Amino acid sequence: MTGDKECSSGEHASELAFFGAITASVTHELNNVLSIIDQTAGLLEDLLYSARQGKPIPPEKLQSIAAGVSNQTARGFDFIRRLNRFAHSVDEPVSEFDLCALTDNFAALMKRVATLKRVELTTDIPDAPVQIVSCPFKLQEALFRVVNAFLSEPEKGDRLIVGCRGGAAPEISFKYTRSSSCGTIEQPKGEWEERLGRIGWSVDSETGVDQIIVRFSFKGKTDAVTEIQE
Amino acid sequence: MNKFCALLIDDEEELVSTLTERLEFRGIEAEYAVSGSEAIAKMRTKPYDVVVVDMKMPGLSGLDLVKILQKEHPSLPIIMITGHGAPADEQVEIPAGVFDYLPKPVSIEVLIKKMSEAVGGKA
Repeated sequence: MTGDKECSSGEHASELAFFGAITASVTHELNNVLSIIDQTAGLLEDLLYSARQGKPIPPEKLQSIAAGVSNQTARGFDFIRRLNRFAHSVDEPVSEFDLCALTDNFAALMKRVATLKRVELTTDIPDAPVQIVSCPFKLQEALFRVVNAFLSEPEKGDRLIVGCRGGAAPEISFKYTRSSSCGTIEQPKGEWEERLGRIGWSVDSETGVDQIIVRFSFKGKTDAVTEIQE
Repeated sequence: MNKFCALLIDDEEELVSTLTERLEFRGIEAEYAVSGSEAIAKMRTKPYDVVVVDMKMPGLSGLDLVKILQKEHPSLPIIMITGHGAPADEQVEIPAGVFDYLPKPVSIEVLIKKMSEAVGGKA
């Protein structure tokens, strides 16, 4: 999927699973959006039927319906734009991209998944772009693994803040706060950590009483990144 | 005129409120809740003849809610709404005792037919 000739079948399976999970989540949301528009169209037909029987449709009712459809189409377009941006992250194994935009897009795609698990996902991402050269797809797969680990045994009221920062050492961070005591959370390690290293990233974590912070730090090893392209 | 009262439960308020309005337009008494906890509270104060539960909801999931409803209201017919297609497509199992499931998008006519069948002749 990423064009990495050295990629093992296990890595490909993991990448496909990640791609599938994101696609399933977004298409579920799009199905909800289209279902609402479909039912709204049905409601308009009902109101027209009623109007033909001599019961006029109040203008404010039509205004409210139009606003609802407009909101849903905007919501649908937002999902499509984000899914499209995610899908294009596979175009090139290594590319220059804005880390903030990628993190924001990733967080938006994961928000519904988190909400379904009763976890409040928010972001702390600066407006200014942070340009880096790395492998956007593999990076997002790593981020996905971390979020998945956090969401494996969630408790109602848990919070996850996805952050990003630039400067000399660009970083993506996850701050997961449990509503009660801190549980065990799987960390990327072993072969996975080595894979992150190959695309110029390292990962470390801090575990507190009720909080876990996982940081992805960009090391900017362009020679290591180039290795993937060969 | 249909003679039953339905409770629809889905966290997508715009969807569930529109469905409720369309059912009422057809003479069916219907109410909605946007969470499992709201549904449980409503059902403790008013009897319903059939409930329609979305499978995927934040907080109390559709499956969790069904378990609670089956315990508190063992004879209540339950219809589940799935995201796309058959439950197997979503790798979930419809709990035993659930009357039937419908995939989204739900046709109003199919929903009424299914609810009528579930309440057994009250339509």
